[in-house]
Amino acid sequence: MAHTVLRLKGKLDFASLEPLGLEERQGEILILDFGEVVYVASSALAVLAKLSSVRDVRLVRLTTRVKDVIGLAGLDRLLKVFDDEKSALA
Amino acid sequence: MQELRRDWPSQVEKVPHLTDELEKEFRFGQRISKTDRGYFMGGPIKGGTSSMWYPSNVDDFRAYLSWQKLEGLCEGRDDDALERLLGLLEGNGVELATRHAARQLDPEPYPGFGPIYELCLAGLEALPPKHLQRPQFRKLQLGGWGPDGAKASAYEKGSVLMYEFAIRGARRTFVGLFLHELGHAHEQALPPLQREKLKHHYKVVNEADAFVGLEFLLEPSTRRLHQKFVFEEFLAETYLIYTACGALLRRFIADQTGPVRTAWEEMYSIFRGTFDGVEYE
Repeated sequence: MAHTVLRLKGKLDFASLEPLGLEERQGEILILDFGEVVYVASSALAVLAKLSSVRDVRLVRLTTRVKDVIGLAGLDRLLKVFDDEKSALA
Repeated sequence: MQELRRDWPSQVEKVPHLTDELEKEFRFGQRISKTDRGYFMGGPIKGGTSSMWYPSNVDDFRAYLSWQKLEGLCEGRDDDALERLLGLLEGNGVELATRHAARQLDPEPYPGFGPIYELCLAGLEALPPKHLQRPQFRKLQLGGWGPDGAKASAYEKGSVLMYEFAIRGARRTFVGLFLHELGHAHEQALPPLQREKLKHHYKVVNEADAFVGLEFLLEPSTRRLHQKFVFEEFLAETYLIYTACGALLRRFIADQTGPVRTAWEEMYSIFRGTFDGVEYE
């Protein structure tokens, strides 16, 4: 399956995600690796929610605290979350 | 409830050091804390068993305190509101529970949630009495955390649970979440036939992406997405919009055309029936 993997790090917010052009990235599936993400701002959550409505995006290697924040925003039923890249493509 | 009827004007111009990004964070429910190791933005999750903090500074901290006075829920006593809320709930057989320290239930409702009691009271008093008298709404809990994961709020087996995150953030977010969770009690109480009819019409508006999105917690577009993917979320959100922004919903429906408008008119009619004909501004 054609896919692109993007490894994210540090603090995620609108300003850091916007230049990445996530909607236009090549591949049927876009995998976002959160392994080195330490903070997810609410503006990033809104970007991810919007992105998930227009393309197949799969989040991998999220820390428990990032998963918890996704839950707080009520996005756990919208975003596709997997343990790792392998399970995201299985 | 009136807060949700208006746009959410930015306070950036009024509050020194407040930026658009910080404002979004505070409105979402994050805070700035001063610790021995400096200032941090974020907040404890699940009563402190999880947390996400990011280094901040004194200017952000000051901006947070100023913002909190304008839009946040601060603790304070309002014994009249508590007494009236207890009277309303007990009169309808609904239990009020609080967890102000987040670890265990308070033996009596915590008096320091005055501003929250006032908001709950305003919301509940506006509802038809039968919405408070049904088995789908037997308990209101303010504070604490859910057993199964981090949530801002939840509805579970007759209980509306407004967790720590919801009661420490923006007033507007609390009201939105509170009515949304009451909306889950409502959708659970819908007779199967009404539910089926609503689902039929929902499919029509879903195909056209014709949803109303209010701004609280995150942007309106995210609230619309919630409704698009989960039918029960659509019903709960529609309950919130019907009660808090009835006129806005009617204007939205009037602006639709063709089958989408028909579907929305049918759904509005069903909702109005479940409110005994009561409509809201």
